[in-house]
Amino acid sequence: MNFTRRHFLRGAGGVTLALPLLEAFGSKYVQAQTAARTPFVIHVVHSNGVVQAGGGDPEWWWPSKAGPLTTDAMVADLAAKRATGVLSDYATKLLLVRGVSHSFAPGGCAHAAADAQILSGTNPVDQSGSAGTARANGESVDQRIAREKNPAAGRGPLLLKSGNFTAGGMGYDVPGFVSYTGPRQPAAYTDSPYQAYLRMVGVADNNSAEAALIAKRRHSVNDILRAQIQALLSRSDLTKSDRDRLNQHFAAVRDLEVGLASSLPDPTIASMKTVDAHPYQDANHITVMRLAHELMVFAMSIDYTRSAVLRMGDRIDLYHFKLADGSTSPEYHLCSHRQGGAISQDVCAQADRIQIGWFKELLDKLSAVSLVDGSKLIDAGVTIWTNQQANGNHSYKNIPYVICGNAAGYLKTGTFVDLTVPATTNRMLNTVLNAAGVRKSDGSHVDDFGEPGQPKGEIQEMLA
Amino acid sequence: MTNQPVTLVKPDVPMVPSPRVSRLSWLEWKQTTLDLLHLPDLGAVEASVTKDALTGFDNASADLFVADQLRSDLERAAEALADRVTGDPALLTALLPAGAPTSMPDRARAFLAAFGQRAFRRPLQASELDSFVALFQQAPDQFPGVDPFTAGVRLSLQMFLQSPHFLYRTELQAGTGTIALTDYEVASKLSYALTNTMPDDTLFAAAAAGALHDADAVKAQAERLLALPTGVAGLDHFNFQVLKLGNYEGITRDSTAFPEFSAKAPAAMQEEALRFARYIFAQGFGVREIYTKPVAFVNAALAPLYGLQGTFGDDFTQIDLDPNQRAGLLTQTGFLNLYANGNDPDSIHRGVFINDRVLCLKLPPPSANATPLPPEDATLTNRQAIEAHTGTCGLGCHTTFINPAGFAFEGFDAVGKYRTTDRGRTIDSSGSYPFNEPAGPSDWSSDPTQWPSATASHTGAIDFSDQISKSSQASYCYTSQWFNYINRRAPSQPELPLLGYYAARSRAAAISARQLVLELVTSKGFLSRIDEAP
Repeated sequence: MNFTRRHFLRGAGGVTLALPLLEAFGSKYVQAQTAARTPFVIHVVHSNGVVQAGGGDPEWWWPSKAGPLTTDAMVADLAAKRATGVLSDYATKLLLVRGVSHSFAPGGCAHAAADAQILSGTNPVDQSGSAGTARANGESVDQRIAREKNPAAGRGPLLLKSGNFTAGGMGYDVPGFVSYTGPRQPAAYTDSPYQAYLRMVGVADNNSAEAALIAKRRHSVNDILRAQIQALLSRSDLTKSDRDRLNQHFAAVRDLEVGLASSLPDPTIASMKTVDAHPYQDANHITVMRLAHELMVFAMSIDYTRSAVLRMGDRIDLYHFKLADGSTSPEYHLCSHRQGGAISQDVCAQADRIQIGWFKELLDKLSAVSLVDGSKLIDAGVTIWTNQQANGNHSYKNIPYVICGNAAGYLKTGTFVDLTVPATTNRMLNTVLNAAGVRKSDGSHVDDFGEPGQPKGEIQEMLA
Repeated sequence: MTNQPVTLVKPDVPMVPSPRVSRLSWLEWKQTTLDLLHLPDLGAVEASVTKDALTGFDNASADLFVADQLRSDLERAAEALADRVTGDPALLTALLPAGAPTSMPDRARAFLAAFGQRAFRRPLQASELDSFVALFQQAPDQFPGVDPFTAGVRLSLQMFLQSPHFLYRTELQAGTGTIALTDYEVASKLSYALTNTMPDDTLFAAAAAGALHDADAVKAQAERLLALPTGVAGLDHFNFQVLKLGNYEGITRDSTAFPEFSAKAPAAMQEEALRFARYIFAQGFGVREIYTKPVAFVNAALAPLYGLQGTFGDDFTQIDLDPNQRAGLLTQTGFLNLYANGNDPDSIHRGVFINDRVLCLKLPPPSANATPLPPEDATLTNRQAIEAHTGTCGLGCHTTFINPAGFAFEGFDAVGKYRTTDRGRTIDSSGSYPFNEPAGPSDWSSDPTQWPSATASHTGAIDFSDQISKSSQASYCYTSQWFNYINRRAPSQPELPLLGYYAARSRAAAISARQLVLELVTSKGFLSRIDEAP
C-alpha cells in the first residue's frame, strides 16, 4: 500500500504523537511532499542471543507450533515461557522466521563478527583474536535502503543506540557496529536521542526568508569547499586511501535542505535533554530506548527517512534487568553465557521477555498512528526484531527474526515460518531489501546482496 | 626467559608510504576548534558532532573519514560557532591580528591571512587568499542588517571550520625519494601526536623560522610540549585508550558484599591510573616500573580498597604500598575492579586483558560451543570453579594463556582488596605462562609471534608482574602501542626491525617511556615520507 505524506499528515493521530506534534506539521512543508512512498524498514538489533533450543537451553523463545499464529496460542505459549508470546496482540501482523543462520563463522570475537554481518551479509574482515575489531566487508541493508529510497538524496538511515557504550571514540574497545556505508566503513550510532532529534529538525522553517539566506550562505561556502577538495584530488601523488577518503568527503558536500518544519512535543524534548549527557548509562537505558522509539515513529511519520536501526545493548552488556521477583539480574552479558547455570537460564528468559516487551512498545507506538484511509503506520513498513546471535553460546544457527508489518503486501503475516531448509542471512537481507522496494539496476529483484558466492535469492516462504 | 640486555644497532629501515591526508580525530577537532577560536568550551556544539565508529586508537588515519552525517554535523557546528564568536565582541577581536588596518578591504585581508594561517596551520597561498576575500565580500548580502566586517568574518569562519585544510592534517610537499616534511607539516604532526591539538604559538614560530629541519630541534620542541598541560593530556589520552579507562565508568558492586566500595570509586580509579602513568613518564621509568612499582595514588574512595588507614579526602596522595602485596599497574584497584563475576573476581577476563593489552597476544575467540559455568559451589574456590569449567576448553587458550595470567591475581578480590583465602581456603596464585622470547638478536627483526616460547613459572601477582616487566613481549607490546598511536597506523613489515630495536632497548631498561616517545617523534619515518608507488 502506498500513501502520500499529505494524506498521512492529515490523518495522523495517536497516543504518542500528541497534539503539539500534529500542530507542528506545517502546511507548506506538507505541500512539498506528495510523492508515493515505499515501505520503511526499522531494524531493532539486540545482543547476546535468546534462550532457545540448542546449546543446552530449553525452548523458551519460539512459538510451540509452526504455521498460523493466533492470539490464544501465543498467550498459551507465553504461559509456557515462550517469549514471543509477549506479542500475542500482534499475532495477525507477525512473521516469525526460524532457520536463518550467519554464513561466516567468527575468526575473532564472535559478537563482533556477528555484528559485522547481520545487516551486511558480508564476510567480516579485520578480525583479531578476542578483540572486537571485526568490520563488515560491504554496505549494510539499512544504508542501501536509505541511499536508494530516502526522499532526500544523501540522507542516511536513522541510527540510534540504547545501552552500554558511547558511540565511538575514547574507549579503544568499540561498540558493535551493524551499519556500514561500505567495506570497513562503520557508521556511528547517535546515542543521545536529543542529538538525533536536532539533526532531524534542522535550524529553521524551510520556506522562511531566513532559510533562503541559510541556503545561499551554504551554497557559497560549499562552492569553495568543493574546489578545495577537488584541488587536493587533482594531485597525482596521494595514496589510494587518501583519495578514497577525499572522494567520500567530496560526495558528502551537498547543498542539503535546511531542516524540517516539524517537531516533537516539548515534554518529549525535555526528556531527551535529561539523558543527553549520559545516554549510555544503565539508569537511562529504558528512557533512551523509549525516546528512540518515538524518534523512529516520528521519522517514519514525516518520511524523514525510510530506514532506521536501533541497536539495543552491546556484546559486553553490563545492563541489570529488574526481574519479576523484584531482584536485579547480574550483568546481562554474563547471564547470556549462563554463568550461574540454570538460574541464569531463567534470568535470561526473563530478559528475553522484557526485551521483546520493549519491542511491543514500539509496535504500539507505530499502531497508534493512523492513516487517512484508516490503516495504520505499522502496516506501511516492516519492523524487525533480531539479535546478533542465536543464543548465549555464540551460536550463529537460528538467528531470531520477528517481523511485523507486511510491507505493502509483500510479506506474509500471521505466521511462524520454520524453515525446513535453513537459509543464510544474506537471503533474509535480499528479502528485506525487496520488501522495501529496492531493486537491482535492471529492475529485477535483489538476489545477491552481501558477500559474493553465497546462496542467492529471497526466502520464498516469507513472501505473500 | 633470559634477562640479558640486548645490544642492537639502530636499523636503517626502508621508508613506507603513509597517509598524506589524515582527518583530525574527534578529540583533535574539538581541541583545535577551542584553540583556534580562543573558546573555553564548545557549548552545545560539542555533543552535536558525531563521534567516529572506531575499532582501534581514535586517531587511526584509515578509520577517519567524512561521511554524510559528520559533514552535516560539521556544517551546523561551523554555523553555530561562527554565530557565537562574531556575536561576542571580545571573541571577535581576539581573532584579529594585532595592528590590523581599520579600513576595508585591507582589514578583511589582514584577518583572512592571519586567521587562515592558524586554521590551515600553514601560510595561505595567494590564490587561496584571493578566493577567501571574494567570499568575504559576498557576506553583507547574505547577512542583511549585520555589520559588513562582522558578516564577512562570520561567513569566513563557516568556511574555515569546514575546510579540508582545517579538518585534515596534510603532508603535501612534492618531491621524489625520501621527502622531508616542511617545517609547518612537522609542527602539526608533532603537535597532534603529543597534544591532540594544533601547534601553539611557539611551535608556529619555530616553523616560520625554518627551525624544525633537524631531529634535535624537533626533540627540543617535543620535550617542551610534553611538559605542557596539553602534553600531559595527550599522555592521558593514550593511556585512557590502552587501559580501557572508559569502561571504568560502568563498574558497580554489591553494596552489601562490598560496603567499602563507594560510588566515587570508579572515577577515582580512572584518575589513579592516569596519575600512575604520568608518574612513570615523569620519573623516567619504563615498562619495568609500570609492572613493578608498588606505588598508588589514593584518595578516600580508594584507601579502603588498599586497606589503608589514616585520613584521606578527595585529593590524591602518592602512597608506597607493601611490596609484598602490590607491584605496579596490575595490582592497582582499577584493573582489579574492571572485571568481576558477581562477587568474585572475573579471573578469565583479567587474563584476557593481560594477554590483549599487556602482551599484545591475539587469542582466538571463545568456542561457539562453550558450555555455561555451573552454579556457584561454595565448596570450590573461584579458581577451582573456573579450572573445572575451562580445563578442557579447545586450543588450550584458557589453560595455557588466560587462566595462568588471571589466576596470578587471585589474591585480590572483586574490589581489589588483598586476600589470602577464598571461601576458607588458602589462595593459590601460582602458575606458569609461555612468554615468547627472541632466541637471539636477529629475532628482534620480527614480531613476537615469530619468537620461540619460553615458559616461566610464577608464585603469584608479584612474581608474575616482575616476569611481565622483564619480558620482551611486554616491551614489544608497549612499544607497538606507542608506535600505532604516534604514527596513526600499525607498522608495516619493513618497519618491524626498528620497532624491535626500540622494544629491545625498552626491555633492557636502556630507554624510558618518555624517551621512547621522543625517539618515535624524531625518527626518519616521522619527519619524512615517500610517495606510494603508482
